[in-house]
Amino acid sequence: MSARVRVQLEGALQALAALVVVWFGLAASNERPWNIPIGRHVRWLALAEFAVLAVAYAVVVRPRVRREAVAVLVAGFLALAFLSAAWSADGTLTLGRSATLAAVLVSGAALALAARERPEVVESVVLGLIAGVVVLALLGLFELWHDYDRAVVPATTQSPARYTGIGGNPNAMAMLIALVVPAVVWGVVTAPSRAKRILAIAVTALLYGSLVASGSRGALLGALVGTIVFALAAALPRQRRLVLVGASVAAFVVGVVALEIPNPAKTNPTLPFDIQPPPTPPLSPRDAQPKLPLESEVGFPRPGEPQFERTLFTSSGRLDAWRGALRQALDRPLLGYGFGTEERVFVDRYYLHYSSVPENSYLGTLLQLGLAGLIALLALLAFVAAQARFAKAPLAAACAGAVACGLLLAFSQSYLTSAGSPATAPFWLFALLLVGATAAEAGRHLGEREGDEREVQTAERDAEPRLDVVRREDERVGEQEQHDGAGGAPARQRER
Amino acid sequence: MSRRWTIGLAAGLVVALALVGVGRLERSHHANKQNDGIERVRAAVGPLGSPSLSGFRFLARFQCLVYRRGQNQFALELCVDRQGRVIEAIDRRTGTTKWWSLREDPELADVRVDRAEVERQIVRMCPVCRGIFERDADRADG
Repeated sequence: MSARVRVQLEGALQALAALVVVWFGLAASNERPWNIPIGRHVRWLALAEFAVLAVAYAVVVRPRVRREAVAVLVAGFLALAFLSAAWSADGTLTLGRSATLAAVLVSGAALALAARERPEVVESVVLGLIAGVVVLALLGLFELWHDYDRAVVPATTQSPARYTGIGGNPNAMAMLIALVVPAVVWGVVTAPSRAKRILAIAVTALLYGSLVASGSRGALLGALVGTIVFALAAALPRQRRLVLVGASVAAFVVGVVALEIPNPAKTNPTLPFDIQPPPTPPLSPRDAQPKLPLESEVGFPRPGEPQFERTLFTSSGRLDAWRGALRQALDRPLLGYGFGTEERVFVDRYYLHYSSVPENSYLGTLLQLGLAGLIALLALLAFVAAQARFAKAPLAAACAGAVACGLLLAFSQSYLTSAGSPATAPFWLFALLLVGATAAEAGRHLGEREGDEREVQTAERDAEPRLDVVRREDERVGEQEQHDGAGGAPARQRER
Repeated sequence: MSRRWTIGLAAGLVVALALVGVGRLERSHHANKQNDGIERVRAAVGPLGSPSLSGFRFLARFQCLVYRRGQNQFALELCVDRQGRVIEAIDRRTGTTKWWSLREDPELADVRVDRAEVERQIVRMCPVCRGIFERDADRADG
């Protein structure tokens, strides 16, 4: 019975992994009614189902569970998140956000444990994640054909036009796509037939094209780093590895050049009302808001100052926002303002920063859970990242690539602890699947080390009697010398 | 339950209680610091309807009164929520702007002003705002 159930659960997990990605993408999209009225509710149902199935799968597979470092680290972080409801500005929000992140992390941890007995589940889930992202990318292309104004953020005087597909903003989907790029490249490298390789190449082209068109610099760099980590970690022939690294760098250079082609507009566009309502007109001549907006006070251009223009190396206002978030975090440095309150606590006062969060996951965690939370998160991430050294199998290496990409993206996006973000569940699934996929190799490594230690102990144990003999002999000689010094010479002479 | 488990559980509880204590302490310390700053700005403003009142802001969650000092039209600012709690104060009298804010935790805002007076001053500068206040009051009653 269990074998059949196991296979059925693997299929269900694959389908649900795709569904979770699609619903989370739709919930963050610009598509009504799929985004706010429906998507926001259905995505939690999909996540809950996925979590239940993942735990059920782990129960069916019955992995040997010892004291697992990853389980301890996940439990520690989640415990702190739940506990922070006691000092949070909004305890209900904190409990809700903690529960959704717990669903993601528990799913991943259950799959990581199950993967020790059934490594096949890693491939099932990874393919499910890729399928979900491909569906979203195809929906984006459909949107481009169907409603150009929604699929493309028009050029402004500060920034060129950016493709967003169905995404609410150009960075949201780009981040998700960048995370799966290493896994898609794994598909190209290990495809068992020509047809599958062609399919994998087509998927790579679709995703990378969407990524470049989005103009998301962080996501482009993340995809490069992820692919390079995949190429270096996987046990591939040297030549193939070099080709892969070369191709990744070449694709990145092409992407960067493409980013520089479009120019900002001469005048700001007039957007349709349903996409962006115009700003409220001044309520009276003494209305201060139009003259000095509270949400744009820092960096607000004075009359005659040059207009900001987004280039490859400008920070889009993030540096100001990070400084502000750090100042706020230092007001409650040890335990922060409560998990899930990042958006509520961070006050955007920065002219160039268009976000309700500081757009840095590490700073966001510091703001929510203080130093204690940041250390707990970094410990978990460091443990996951350390498993990359055992990621010799190409699929495990692809997971390592996704983790490297996700860790880099976390510097420019607040998403690691926000389960509602489209990239959060895929990142943690890749991270915890990496732990599961490398468990055997890590165990062998540990076994070798323990074996070495046992050998040393045995050698010492074997050596001990001889040492005793030497020690006893030394003592005997010493006693003899003492005896000689005390007038024992006649005895030696007698021996002679 | 083995002795080891009992000790582990007890240690966990102690750590959890300590964390809750520290977390709550940080929260109240932060609130005190912000309330002190807000109180200083409130004192510097003087009467809400003073002649230096130069403008207002009408935001969804709170409204602000802005005061002039010398040439600086936006020198001091007090932001008040519907309950009359001053949840944010801004001092722009020197070159660098200073904020004190309890936007995220308005329950902890200690400094209060007469909400009716705030609305009166805003309506004086913005006649159309009267309708918005009345609509909000109807919603709150209904």
